[in-house]
Amino acid sequence: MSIETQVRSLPGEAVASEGHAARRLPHPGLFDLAVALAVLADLYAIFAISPAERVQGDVFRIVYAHVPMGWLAYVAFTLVFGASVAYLWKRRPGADYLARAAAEVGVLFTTLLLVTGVLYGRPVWGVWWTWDARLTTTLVLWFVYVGYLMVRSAIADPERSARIGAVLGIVAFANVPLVQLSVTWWRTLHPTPSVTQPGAMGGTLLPILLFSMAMFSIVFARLVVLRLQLVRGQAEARQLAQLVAERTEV
Amino acid sequence: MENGGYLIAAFGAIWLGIALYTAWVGSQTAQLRRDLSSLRDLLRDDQTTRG
Repeated sequence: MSIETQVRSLPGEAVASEGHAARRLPHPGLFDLAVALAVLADLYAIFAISPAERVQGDVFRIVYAHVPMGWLAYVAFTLVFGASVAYLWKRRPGADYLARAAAEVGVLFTTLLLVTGVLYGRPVWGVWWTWDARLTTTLVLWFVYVGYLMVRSAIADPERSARIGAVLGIVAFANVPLVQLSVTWWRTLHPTPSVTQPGAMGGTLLPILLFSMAMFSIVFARLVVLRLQLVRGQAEARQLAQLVAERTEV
Repeated sequence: MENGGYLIAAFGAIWLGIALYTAWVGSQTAQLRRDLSSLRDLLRDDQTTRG
């Protein structure tokens, strides 16, 4: 079999022909321009349309970013869970790539959730941090998924990394409902979710929060897709490098 | 603006975090492009030598 034929038979066919993989790698385009415009529209809504809250004042506007960060961290770790189950069931590398990409973006959004929470807590509660159930479980969630990424990076064998990662991705997900229910199970300083409570967010608050959630969801999806393409490309490049090494040794 | 510093810091942290992550993914992607290009050159050389 010629080397070209062997390369063509690689999974995903990404490195099959001249420039194929390179073409699949991300390039900024119209979608990114649309994302940038959505971000500007959201910032306008948050800072120009939304009024300051009666008690908390302008600092309340942090909620428009803090809540979507939390929501999207849940989405990311749910994706990790689903993709991990799919990998163990079907053993498709694509599921593992998705789990890895979603976990990384999930850690980013959890980091931003914690940072915005600290910056919101200081003027509203008078403290930067308190060992409240919601804050503590969220910090544990962050450590668990940072650990997931570290374990994944430490295992050199891709198949073993995927298998162990899938088990971890399923086990780690137990933290997500724990974080969500922490405010109802224990007495906490952190408020219970007000989005689902009728009348809790009147006027323009709820529409702007929902718009902000939609906008951050688009940014989140874009980041996951970018990272997914990169993880897939790196895996294919590894396979190709192995093939080249085998050929040049002969 | 009351407590404006916290507000600016929060939104600044979000967009800085997202921008830094995007830049890191972009740099990794550029590295991958270079690696793929080198691998293709190696393949081409190997084919030429064998041909």
